[in-house]
Amino acid sequence: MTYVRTLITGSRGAGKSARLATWAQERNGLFVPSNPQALITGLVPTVAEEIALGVEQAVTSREELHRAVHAAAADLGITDLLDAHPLQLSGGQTQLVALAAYLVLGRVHGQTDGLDAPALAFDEPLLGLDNAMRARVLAAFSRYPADLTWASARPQTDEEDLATERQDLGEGVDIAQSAETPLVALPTRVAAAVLARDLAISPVTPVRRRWKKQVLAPVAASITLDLDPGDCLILTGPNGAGKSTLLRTIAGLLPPVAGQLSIGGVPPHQQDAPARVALTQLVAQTPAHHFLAPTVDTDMQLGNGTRAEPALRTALRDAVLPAGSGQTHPLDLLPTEQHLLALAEALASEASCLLLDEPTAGLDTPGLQQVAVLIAAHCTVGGSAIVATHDPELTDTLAQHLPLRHYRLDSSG
Amino acid sequence: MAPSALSASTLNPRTWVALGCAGLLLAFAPLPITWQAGLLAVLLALHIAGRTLAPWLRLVLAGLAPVAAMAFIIQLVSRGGETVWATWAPVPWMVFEVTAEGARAGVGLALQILTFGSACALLILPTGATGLRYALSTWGLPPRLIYLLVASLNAPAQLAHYSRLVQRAARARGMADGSKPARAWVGVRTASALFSLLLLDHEVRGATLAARGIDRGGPRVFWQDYADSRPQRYLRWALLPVTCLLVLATYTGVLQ
Repeated sequence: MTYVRTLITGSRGAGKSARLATWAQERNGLFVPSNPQALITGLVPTVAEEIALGVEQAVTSREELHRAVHAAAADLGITDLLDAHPLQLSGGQTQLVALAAYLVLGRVHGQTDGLDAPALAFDEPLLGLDNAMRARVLAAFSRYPADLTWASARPQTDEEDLATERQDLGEGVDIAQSAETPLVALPTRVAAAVLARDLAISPVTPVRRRWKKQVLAPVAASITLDLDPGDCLILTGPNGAGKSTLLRTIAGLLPPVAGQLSIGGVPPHQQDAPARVALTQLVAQTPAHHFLAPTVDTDMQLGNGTRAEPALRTALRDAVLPAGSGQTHPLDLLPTEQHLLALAEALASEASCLLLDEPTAGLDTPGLQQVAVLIAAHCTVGGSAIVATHDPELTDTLAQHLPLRHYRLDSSG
Repeated sequence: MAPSALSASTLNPRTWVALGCAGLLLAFAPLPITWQAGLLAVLLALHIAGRTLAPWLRLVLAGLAPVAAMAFIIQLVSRGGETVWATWAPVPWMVFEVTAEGARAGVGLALQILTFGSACALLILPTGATGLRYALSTWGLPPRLIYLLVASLNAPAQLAHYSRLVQRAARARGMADGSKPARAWVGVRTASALFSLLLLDHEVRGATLAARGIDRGGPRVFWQDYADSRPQRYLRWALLPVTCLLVLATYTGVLQ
């Protein structure tokens, strides 16, 4: 039997999510929003139980449940995560577990009520996934025994190859300022070179216990890199290799497990907060976890945001958001706009080194170009940037603006 | 909140829940102080047996003890009584009397708060949300009620998770380092962000859980197989009547 595979495309605000929800409703299927963190229930202690939660009533025995969960995990290459805690995964791993929790519905045989697997509608299911994982997810999509649709702001060839139908929703909301418009001049950054020698990193914060020295298992080790003012480094590596942990370590939010790390000649984790964020500013993978104030304007003034002239803050805001967004709650913005606002806030803080974790996840082409222009503007005034990304289009676009350096992080356990 | 290794291997979640429910019933009853102290000791022993002493202690220190202490002090100085130990009148129309009766009532109320909290903790700490869901589902409670109970008891863990995310964001933006008072003030400033994030994510989570059939009635197959035994079954059957008898004895004055 042939099932429909529909790819829905469109720019920001074009209504992709609404179309997916309607599509699922019409087929009595399930709509899966693009928020993997919120898709994890937090009610179970292991990934296996998280995946099993939705098929507890569709199986007739525990063996069948185990078989279905293992098959879904194997499809997505996350068998080694089955015993992990669902709330302690990397961004990409969380995305995979959230997908497995739905794709497992296609791995259950002999459903009790005689229903087949439901149609599934995924909103941006490939965000933050490396190439190998993308291929696995798309292969699992092709095998799913029911109709399936997914939305993608910038579909790649592999997605287009899989789709049997395509719906292009076209342009959405007006973009405040096109990528070609010259950006307001940024102030010159304080020169601060990033130096890492034989660095070992761990996502676990050591607990201060005077009577007991805590031994941390590094997620990655032997990391050596240099970054001079004006440099832009593209950080790549498989999901779970420790890219976000490395960024958090360079940001001074985690102490290195071993090795040397300095920015501008000082170890970042030993600096007080204002000095630390003057050296490096991290923009997290999930922009919703970045905003701490009830309006865009007040959020832009948090932390070192007050360092920027009000005119610069306004110019940066207007460069990335629609006019009149100052009093909007940051979480009410479109996901694309949230990404751009988080980046604009990092630029307003005038840090020497920007650390960006998947800054183009879910962004349309104009949004991606805006990100590239903003990063290039920062590097042009003497700042440096480390960009963790799986997005080849971002790398290509950035390469048109400035010379790039590359570092691949592989998990060393 | 994951169940501890020992509790998962030795006691069935239904036994833990039965023990917790028995503790709750007794905590509500007007037991004599010595019996309340004994009940607290039993609950403490159960937390030790379930290897949940550390989270129980955190719960007591952060939540129960301050409330219990406040209740004790209020009873101590405002209850009144015949045996007056001390008197303090900061203004002529406001007289505080520390009395023996007030002290007794305060200790009783404080113990009641501690036993109530410890019994509640017995429902969730040794079993985890999964074990609790298993126990309540096996007993045939309505799925929506089960979800409500499990989600409510799991709420502190969820709140802690989101609180960590917000603290992490505050640190990343240069707001939360420095002294403890400074960090506490940042916590106050970012409380609205915490609850916005929590509510938005819970809206998605609720819809997701509904789509995945968490509130659907009917038989379920759980991932984990929980061992059970005949003594545990007898214990569960015996607990409820014994507890009811004790409560009855308390109300009829037999235990006074």
